[in-house]
Amino acid sequence: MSARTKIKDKSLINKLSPAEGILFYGLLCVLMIAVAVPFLTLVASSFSSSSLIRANGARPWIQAFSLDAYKIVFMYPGDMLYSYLVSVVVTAAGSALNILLCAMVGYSTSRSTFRGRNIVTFFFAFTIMFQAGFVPQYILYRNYLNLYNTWAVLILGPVVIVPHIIILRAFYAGVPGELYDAAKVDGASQYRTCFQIATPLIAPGIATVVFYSVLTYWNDPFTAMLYTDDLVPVALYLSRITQYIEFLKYAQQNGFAGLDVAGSEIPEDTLLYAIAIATTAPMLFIFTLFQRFFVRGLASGAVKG
Amino acid sequence: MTKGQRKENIEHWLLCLPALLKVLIFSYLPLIGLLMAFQFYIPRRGLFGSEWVGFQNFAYLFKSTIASRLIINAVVLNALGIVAGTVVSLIVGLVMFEVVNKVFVRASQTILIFPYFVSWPLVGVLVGSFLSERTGMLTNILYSIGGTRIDFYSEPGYWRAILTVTLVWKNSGLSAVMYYAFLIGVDKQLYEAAAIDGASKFRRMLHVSMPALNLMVVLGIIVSSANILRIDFNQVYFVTNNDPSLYKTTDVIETYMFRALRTEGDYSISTAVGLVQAAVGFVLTIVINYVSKKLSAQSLF
Repeated sequence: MSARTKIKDKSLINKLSPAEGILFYGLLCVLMIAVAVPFLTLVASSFSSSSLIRANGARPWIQAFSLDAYKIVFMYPGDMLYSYLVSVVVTAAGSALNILLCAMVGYSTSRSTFRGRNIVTFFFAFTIMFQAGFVPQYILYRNYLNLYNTWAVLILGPVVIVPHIIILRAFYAGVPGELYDAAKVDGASQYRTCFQIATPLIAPGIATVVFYSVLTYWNDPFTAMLYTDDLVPVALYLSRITQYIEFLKYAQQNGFAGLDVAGSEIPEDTLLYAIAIATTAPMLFIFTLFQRFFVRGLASGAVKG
Repeated sequence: MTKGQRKENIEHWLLCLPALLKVLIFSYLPLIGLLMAFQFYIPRRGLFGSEWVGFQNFAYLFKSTIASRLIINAVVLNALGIVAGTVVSLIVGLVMFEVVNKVFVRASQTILIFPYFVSWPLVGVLVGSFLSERTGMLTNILYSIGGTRIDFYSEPGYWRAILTVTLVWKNSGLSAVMYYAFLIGVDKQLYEAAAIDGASKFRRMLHVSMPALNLMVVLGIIVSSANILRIDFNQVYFVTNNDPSLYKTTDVIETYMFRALRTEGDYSISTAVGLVQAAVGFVLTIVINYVSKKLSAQSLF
């Protein structure tokens, strides 16, 4: 009994011995540094003098503060701003549509009164298990659906992300059955029950899927790489610039015929880093701001699913 | 069915209809295109005008080194990723749970999740800032120690490790936080009992936390093994900069199919690879769903 009461003092359960403290805090600190150093290097190098970067290489601290790279980035911001526009429109429209469709399916398949729920569930699950791959898909989109180089392909291509249905279904399944009975007595249709009764109750689930969906759309360079020429979202814009700068570096080193860049002072690396930051920083900030909701919902989704 | 039940059922079908149509057109219709794998497909002639060649494309794939290279690369990369990812995120999750200072825990979570939000092209830039031959930080450090300048981008031998490290770096923070979130829900009395018995933190981790996470870990591993031939195209393509000199260890089915569409252009051969990938994935999913049913008394679908 006395041991039991002693344990009530929580600090005794949770207290770490010095060795354990050093080991646990130490491990997390090392990992945090491992995550932070690449970002620090990127930021610091983008603000450094390009000749020093060329001589010493990238370092996680600023070498001779310089804004030259950013001056070039913001001298002709047109392409980058257009990429932002593409990304924002595609992400907003795509996510909204994806969540709407997934919620409707998630709701219906969570209801035992829906006779077709198993067929519908299998219909979607099968697309995870067996995919045609993107060669037949490419031919279909391009030659038969005429989706090449359209906004529609960027928005519709990824829509109905099946794992999102599974997450939402788990949340809808947690809505108390009495509410559905009451809605039925009141003569509410399934549309009303779904949108006005069930969905407001699973706000954390919706928030999780919103976050996931926005992340998926925003960081998807692939759809655009395959299906568009002129619509370049920011993720792909960055990769195009990377390739372009690689090419410039190569040309500078090897003296390309017809390309008079040998010896000219293009701030290749710092420019690349500055563009990397300009294309990713705003959204990373927003993601970090909202990550707590996301993690909470994700954790509960994992437990439920 | 009564009239009310029928009406309800129809309403449910209508709620599912838009998504069903989208998936029917965008995911089921392309399945017809898999027939290309048994053809000598010529775009101009289309699916019904091209010559049928039976299993010739598959024979070519498996006789040449293409199939074995793509499959071995995918399996090795996935195996490394699953093992390293699980070990790291599990250890981090367990340690996070033991750390008492809540402010520190929250700070570490925010930082460790951060890479999950970045795109693979950005990771590619970060990797370049470490490994680029002239200006890379790691290349320079190794140069000052060993005196030789390693050109990582022309040495395929390093890239299995590099791809694994980037994958763990990007995704393990989030998995660790999910393990942590799960442990928060474990019955506190188990930990009190362990403390009464005089268990050290390590024993507590091993005998209380680990068993609680067991099912989650095992399910995670088997689900990822079903995708043993599938790899995130974006990771491989952008982290390696799609450098042809690295294909020996980094070329996977996805990158091969992409090249077929963009440059080399043999639709039939790449559809055949895709079909092999899909078939293997399908069989593994069925097997694994059965195994997980036995393990957890619940099916994944």
